[in-house]
This record gives sequence, structure tokens and C-alpha cells, in this order.
Amino acid sequence: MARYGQELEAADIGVFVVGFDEFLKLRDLRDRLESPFVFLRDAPRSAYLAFGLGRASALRTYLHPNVLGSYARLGFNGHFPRLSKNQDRRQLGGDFVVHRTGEIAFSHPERGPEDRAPVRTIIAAALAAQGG
Amino acid sequence: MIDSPGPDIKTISFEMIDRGVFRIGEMRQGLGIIVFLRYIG
Repeated sequence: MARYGQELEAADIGVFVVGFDEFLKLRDLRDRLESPFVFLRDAPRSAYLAFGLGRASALRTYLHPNVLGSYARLGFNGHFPRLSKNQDRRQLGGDFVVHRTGEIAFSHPERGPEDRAPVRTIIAAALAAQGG
Repeated sequence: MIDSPGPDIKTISFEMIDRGVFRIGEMRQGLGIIVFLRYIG
């Protein structure tokens, strides 16, 4: 999404990345991606809950073919996830376009870990909501 | 327009990783893309 940064900035659309992990991990991710976006933390996951983001089944979390494929690709490229014992790997994420007033213009709560909305779809929804 | 899942969306507090608190209702831009992550590996 960072490649659309200038387009989004010109349209006065902010991008906010929310995680529930420790600050250190969020900071590390932001730095690793050289992300220009605002990173936020929701440790109690109250926002996750408010946006209707649930948890995937263990089967879908670990054995969905797309999940296995993505781990295989990462491993092939020399990147091995740094997993730790207490991580909640079943918590799902999602993508939303939200007006400052709280109205939601686009909503994609993940149904499984492989179910991310295409970036271009999110950008198009945001630009449309902004009247662009 | 999709209805907000609750009346409190704009008042939910997030911790900013650099410092301070962020609320959707207080964002500088009129519109925001919010990306909720899963665990960070």
C-alpha cells in the first residue's frame, strides 16, 4: 500500500496500521517495511471487537492451502516467521475505510488468515468515498 | 455507505507507537484506511 502513499496523501486520506502485539514488534515492522503510515496499538483488542474481527479456526489458521503456500514462499525467500509461544495466531485482521464521523465506507473483515482484501480494491473504495 | 458497527467507532482509543493516543474522530484527514493486522511474525 505504501506505493500509493502519494496518491492517498494528495486525496487527503490517512492510512493507519493497527496491531495488538508489543510496541517493539510494531516499531520493528514499521521500520522493516519503511512504512510512511501511522502505526497504532490496540492491546486489549477493543477495536478489533468493535469492527467485528473474530478468530479463525485452528484448521484454517494452520492448514489452509493458501496459508501453507505463503509460508512456503516466505521460506523459499529465506524469511522465517519469528513465532513465539504466547502469540494469538488465530486473531483475524481486516481492512476498513472510515470517515472521521465514524461511518464506514468499506469493510472487509477477514474470514480466514488468507482472506486479505486486494490493496487496489481498498484504495479504489477510499478514493470513491472521498469523491475522487 | 455501510453503517457503523457501533456508535463508538470514532471514540475508540488506540495507542500511538511513538507517543500519545489516537481516535478515529480526531484524525486530521476526513477519511482513513484502517488496516488491522494479525500477529506479527
